[in-house]
Amino acid sequence: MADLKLTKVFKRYGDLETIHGIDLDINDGEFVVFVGPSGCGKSTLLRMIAGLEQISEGDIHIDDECMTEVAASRRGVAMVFQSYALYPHMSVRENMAFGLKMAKTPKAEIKRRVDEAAQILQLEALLDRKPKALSGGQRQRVAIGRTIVRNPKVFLFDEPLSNLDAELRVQMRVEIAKLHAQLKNTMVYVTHDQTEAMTMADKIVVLRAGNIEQVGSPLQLYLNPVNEFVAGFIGSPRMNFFECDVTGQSANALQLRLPCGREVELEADIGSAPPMTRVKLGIRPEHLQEEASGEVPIGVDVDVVEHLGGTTYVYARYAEKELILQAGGLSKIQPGQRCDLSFNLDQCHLFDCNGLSLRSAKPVPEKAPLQLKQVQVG
Amino acid sequence: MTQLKKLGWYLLLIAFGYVFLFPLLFMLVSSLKPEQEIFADLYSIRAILPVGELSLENYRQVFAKSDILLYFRNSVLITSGTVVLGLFVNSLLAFTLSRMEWSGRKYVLSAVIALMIIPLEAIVVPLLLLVSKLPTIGWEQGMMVLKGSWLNTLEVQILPFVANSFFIFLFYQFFRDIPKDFDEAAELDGATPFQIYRHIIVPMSGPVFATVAILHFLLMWNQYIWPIMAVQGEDARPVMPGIQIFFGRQVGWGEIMAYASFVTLPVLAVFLAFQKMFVRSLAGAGIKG
Amino acid sequence: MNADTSALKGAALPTPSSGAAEPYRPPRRRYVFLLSTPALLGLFMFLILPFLMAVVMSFTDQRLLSPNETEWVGLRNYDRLLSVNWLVQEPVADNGVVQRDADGEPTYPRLRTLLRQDPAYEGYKELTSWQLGDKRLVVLAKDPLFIKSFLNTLQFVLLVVPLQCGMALGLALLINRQLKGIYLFRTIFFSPVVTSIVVVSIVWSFLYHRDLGLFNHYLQAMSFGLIGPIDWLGDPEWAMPSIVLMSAWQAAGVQMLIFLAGLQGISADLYEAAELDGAGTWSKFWHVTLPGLKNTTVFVIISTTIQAFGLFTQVDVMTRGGPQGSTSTVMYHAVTKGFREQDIAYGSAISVIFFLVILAIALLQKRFFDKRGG
Repeated sequence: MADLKLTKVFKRYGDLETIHGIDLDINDGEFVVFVGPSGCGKSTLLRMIAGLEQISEGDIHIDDECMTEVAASRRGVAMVFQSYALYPHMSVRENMAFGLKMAKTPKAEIKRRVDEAAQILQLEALLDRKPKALSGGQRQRVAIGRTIVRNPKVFLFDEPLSNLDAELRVQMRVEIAKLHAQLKNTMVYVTHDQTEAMTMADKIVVLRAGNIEQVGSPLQLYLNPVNEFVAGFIGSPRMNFFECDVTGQSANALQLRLPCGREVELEADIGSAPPMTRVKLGIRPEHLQEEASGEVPIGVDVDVVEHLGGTTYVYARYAEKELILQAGGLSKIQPGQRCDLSFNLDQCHLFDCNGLSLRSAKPVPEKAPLQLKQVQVG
Repeated sequence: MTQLKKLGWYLLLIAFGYVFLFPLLFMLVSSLKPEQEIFADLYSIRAILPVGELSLENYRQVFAKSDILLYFRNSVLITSGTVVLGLFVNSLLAFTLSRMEWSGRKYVLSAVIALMIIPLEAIVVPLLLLVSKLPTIGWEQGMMVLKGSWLNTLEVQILPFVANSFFIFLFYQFFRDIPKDFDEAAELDGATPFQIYRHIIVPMSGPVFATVAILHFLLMWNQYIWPIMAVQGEDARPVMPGIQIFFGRQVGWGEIMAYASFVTLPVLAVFLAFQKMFVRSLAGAGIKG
Repeated sequence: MNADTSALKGAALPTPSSGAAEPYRPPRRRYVFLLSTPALLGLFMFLILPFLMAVVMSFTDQRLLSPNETEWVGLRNYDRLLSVNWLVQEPVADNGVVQRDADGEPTYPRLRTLLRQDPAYEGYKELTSWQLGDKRLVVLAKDPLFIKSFLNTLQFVLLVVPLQCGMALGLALLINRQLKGIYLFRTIFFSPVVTSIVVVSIVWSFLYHRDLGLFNHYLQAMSFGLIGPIDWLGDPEWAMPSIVLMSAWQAAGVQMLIFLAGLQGISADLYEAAELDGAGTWSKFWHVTLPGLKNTTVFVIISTTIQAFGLFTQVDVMTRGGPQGSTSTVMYHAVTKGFREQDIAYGSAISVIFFLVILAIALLQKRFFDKRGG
């Protein structure tokens, strides 16, 4: 059980700086996900926590102990690699025992721990097999087993699901979440898939180009993205954005002209900001309504309609901009027709010319903790 | 392919096969025949057939007239010593070059590659002077003493050939293809670099270790130019200089063939046993060189 | 996942107590040092050091075992090795009438006296001479045996490389087909390679024997006695070619494998396209196979050349540099001078020259491959 604290952490390769002074607090027992586009530094950050990459400047504390200069194997962390890194010439049992063997743990203790971990992950039948005789999901579990056996303070996951097919990915996501609920350890998880982030995290850290864009719970990021990047990154399909002209500005409201010409007024935290000419309006596909019954009606030309059965995605043009609507499964919208949609102002997001949000935070409902009943993991 | 064409190819293959196999078979077969028989059979197919009075008499004569068993023992010691040490020493350097980050790594790697150009022949002469001036440790009356000069020892035939640029390079190429994830996982598991080498890299590198072992074995067993320069006395003499000396004496051809066969048998045995690997090693070594 | 995990939590990983943090970098450096040193030491002591010693020694008069001080002699060794000169001799004439010997050949003044008298020709000995009408052109060298060795080595290389590479290519083409048991033949063609060249030399000495040898027997049989027995190893004309043939036979196997790999690297599509274009067997070979093997061929030629330059063992075993120096090679001369005659400095100078030639060839290869992009 451990807190994890990053203080002003930098990473430099010669003259190139890739992580720019990151501060981050992770509480004991949290499941934190680092998410962001490729190259944002999420893996680098994880590896710096692990001790596989050196921290150029700054400190890292685990449980209030400074680990900046401490060797990886002594930090009390364990990691699941993207490729699993299962030693191919060793059996499952030997793979899991390797770390303990290196630490000169007595044989009886090694056996006990390996057996327990195997039981948790349902690997008992596979203990004597070699990695090449295992399926993808089984290998994943062995990789996780290897970390459990070490009884670390912090578990680290480096994109562990990216090598699995879609169906297996969903299954393993649930298993990892259950594991967290059961072990209650601090876990740091890296992924580029925002769905994984949203479903698994207690806290999400959105990274871009070596900087933290926002830290918060999944619902916080969904409801109150602090800038355009986070708003566009979280949520699938992506939020719709259009530029609007500012026709009037006051301390707590903005008058805008939408691309189709309609004028609206929105509440916003303007305060004493200098006069703005253009802002971006954001509205999520799921918040557009099929009929014109919302506050702001807009007319669109429908290009393509995708029926998925449970939902429908409508790709349309609104005043020469692309727009996506997520509708119900039995939507009657046809491609090629002109359609009237609408949305409510309180579900809009506003971003200034620097991408920063202009709307105050909405209250976020509490996330219910995962209730574990008598469930088996398969 | 038509039957006729096939037959044609086979005939061609057999013809060339005969050319390539003849001397070896002749040697092996003649070693079992008495002198007159060798000459009698020489001009016919019987030259390579084990027919007539076969016996091990030639071999008996060779053992009696020469110190071949001593030389054989020396060769075994020299070859196994060099190969075992070489596998260890060369793979360790390749390990640090391919999997560890350290300043100067690039320079050392370039140097190793550059050194591959220097053939043994270019340095045998100065190497001779060098080893003649190096002291060696010997035992005399129960005490360790420093004896002048490495000449006429087994060490002089082993130690200079342990480190080998080409083998280091072969190991390096192979190690480079092993993903670094394994090292990192082991590092997190608390393994020291040497433990990573021992428990992770070496078990995963069977093919390259076998290749280098075979190549090194061939190199050392068949060595000639160095032993004749560095070793004058009989005690440390290996088989190849031995056979050359035997060849210079007044002995029958049958005995010479017996000596030659005896000296070639280990290599042939290893070759036939590990054929596929041999062929793959040498081809790969040739291409990579 | 419903097992009780509390037991696992009891035994935690060893972590440093506050303050006693293990440093990250130094152990690494120590390991690198420990693990790399044996090989680096070996390479330095037994490869780099001798090489440097050779260069330095070549400017001295160092002997292998000698109580005398070693002195610096500058370029004297190289001078001895590389000095070549010539002169033209007039025949001995008595009042304009050329004196001839019993065979009708013109006689010439004693060369040795001439050389000793003229300071310009100090240290020179005769290398070879040609008749030009009645005059004689004499080529001189300070170490005629070295020049001869170098030329012999060149002769060997120029003969063995085409022969060995040609054989290798032929064998590779032969093997590169889908016939049952083809791998058996591959093993057979390859078997001479694993045999020691010493053993091969000895066995072939028997085959080359003037009176008892197989070659002469078949030669006589096939020519119905017209071609007399050739003293393969005893005739200056034939000694080197004999060694060439044997060496090519022994080593072709390795190059065969390299060519084989090269052949298998040529895409089958190219052959099919050629066939559709109406190309016959010879055309396919010329237009698809050979171009596809270009890089492989260059590599094979260069590596064979470098290997061939070091010719020593066969000569030492079979002919000892004879007859009349016709099989003496650069390395044979180096070993003779440096080791057998104890003139280490001179032998080192020869080694340096040898290395420079090898280096030149290797650089040539590098240039070729760099230009073509490998």
